[in-house]
Amino acid sequence: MIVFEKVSKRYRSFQALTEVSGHIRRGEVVVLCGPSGSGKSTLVRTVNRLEEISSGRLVVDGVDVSDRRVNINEFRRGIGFVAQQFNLFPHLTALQNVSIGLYRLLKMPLREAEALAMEHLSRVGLAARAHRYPADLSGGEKQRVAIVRALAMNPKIMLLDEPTSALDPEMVGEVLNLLRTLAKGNLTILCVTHELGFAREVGDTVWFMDGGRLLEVAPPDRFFSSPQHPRAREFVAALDHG
Amino acid sequence: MIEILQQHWLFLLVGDYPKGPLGGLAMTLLITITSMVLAFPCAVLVALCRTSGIRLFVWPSTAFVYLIRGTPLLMLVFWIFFAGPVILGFTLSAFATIVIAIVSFQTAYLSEVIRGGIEGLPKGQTEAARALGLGYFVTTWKVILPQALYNVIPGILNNLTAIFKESSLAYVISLHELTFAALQVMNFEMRRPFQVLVLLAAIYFCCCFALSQTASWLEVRVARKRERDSGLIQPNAQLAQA
Repeated sequence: MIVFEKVSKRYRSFQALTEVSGHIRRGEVVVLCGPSGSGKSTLVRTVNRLEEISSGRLVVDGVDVSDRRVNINEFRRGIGFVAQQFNLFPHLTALQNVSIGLYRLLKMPLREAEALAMEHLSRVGLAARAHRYPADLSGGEKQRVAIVRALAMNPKIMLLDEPTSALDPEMVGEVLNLLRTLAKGNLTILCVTHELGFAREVGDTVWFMDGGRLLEVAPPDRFFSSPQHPRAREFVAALDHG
Repeated sequence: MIEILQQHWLFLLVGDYPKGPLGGLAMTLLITITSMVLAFPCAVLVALCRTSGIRLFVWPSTAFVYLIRGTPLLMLVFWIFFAGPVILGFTLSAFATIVIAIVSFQTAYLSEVIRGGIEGLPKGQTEAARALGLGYFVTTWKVILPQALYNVIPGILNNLTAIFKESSLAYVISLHELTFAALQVMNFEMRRPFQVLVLLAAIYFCCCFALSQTASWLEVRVARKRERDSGLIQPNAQLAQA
């Protein structure tokens, strides 16, 4: 589904990604771990071309992401993206946040789009909050709306960039519960997270990154019990103490 | 002073109209409103060019802003009045001249205010919209501008009210507006120049004051509306049930 071939990304003088190679199968849930500044977010953001890669090849669902002929907006429709900061549109209600994509992109009639958006919101227990603006929602609710906004487009792939890092501890649970149900479906998921319990539980594979390189790919059990790479060992050891 | 007003109020209000050309306060208001209506969309357009990141648009718009900002409005009026016909090949009316001058001038200043609004938005807003698959125009029109313009309403209104005073420069190209009318009255009332000038100042002040009051009333109203919208009102109960 997603194939990275020696993907590198440089900013002027900073090498963010160095020759990352790996592949993600259809329906696979990949958990991306690593210390801050290791390039996790950058890697996730290359998948829907929020970041352009400098060299290498990145193929997503048979499409070469760097290909100039790709209709980028159409391509992005098939990929849900959820950021740490939710990034809901503050001037739109929860319902409008979810329906804007259906209405504008899938060209549904407004009523139909709103009805479907409502259905999606109900499914995550937010029907009663549908007409609220993001400012009136809690962090957990905002993030659930953001996830629903992405899901409403019926994507094949979900990219999650630290979806729970900006939440108060008591709200992490509700978002993780939603993500658990997602992971059970047949979505392909690439998720950056520091929630290791969650990673262990729902991840099919852990990708460990440091210094812009992909250092280890392993099933969660093996990664957390016996990491191979020295940097991964340090990382896991530090987690155990923390 | 009351005497002057009693004698000349109609002239100060509409000039020689309907027997001659429209003038006085009516002309001043006509210049102001025409310029406001034209300057605002132009300013939005220039601000979008400035923030587009595409050189073809950024350079000319930036050059325009710097050029206009670096010259006095009076000089702009003279330039358009004297050089305009040479370049265009036909004569511009005094009205067209002053409107073009004010619109160019205010476009430059107003576009900077709007650019501030656009650049002040969190980067995540554009990113979330684009990641959803929304194109540049929908993103700009539905996500960026509603927020950016709302945030800089005070600055926009400030600039728009300034237009009212700037219209007085039309006097130098003998356009029959308020200042022109007042100075004609002054010529007529040879012995009382001071009174006429006080009257003129008072008219400008009252109008500007009314304009600023309207502006702040509008500001409060928009803010209230946003607050109310975020309350418990369900704008479409039918859809809520769907």
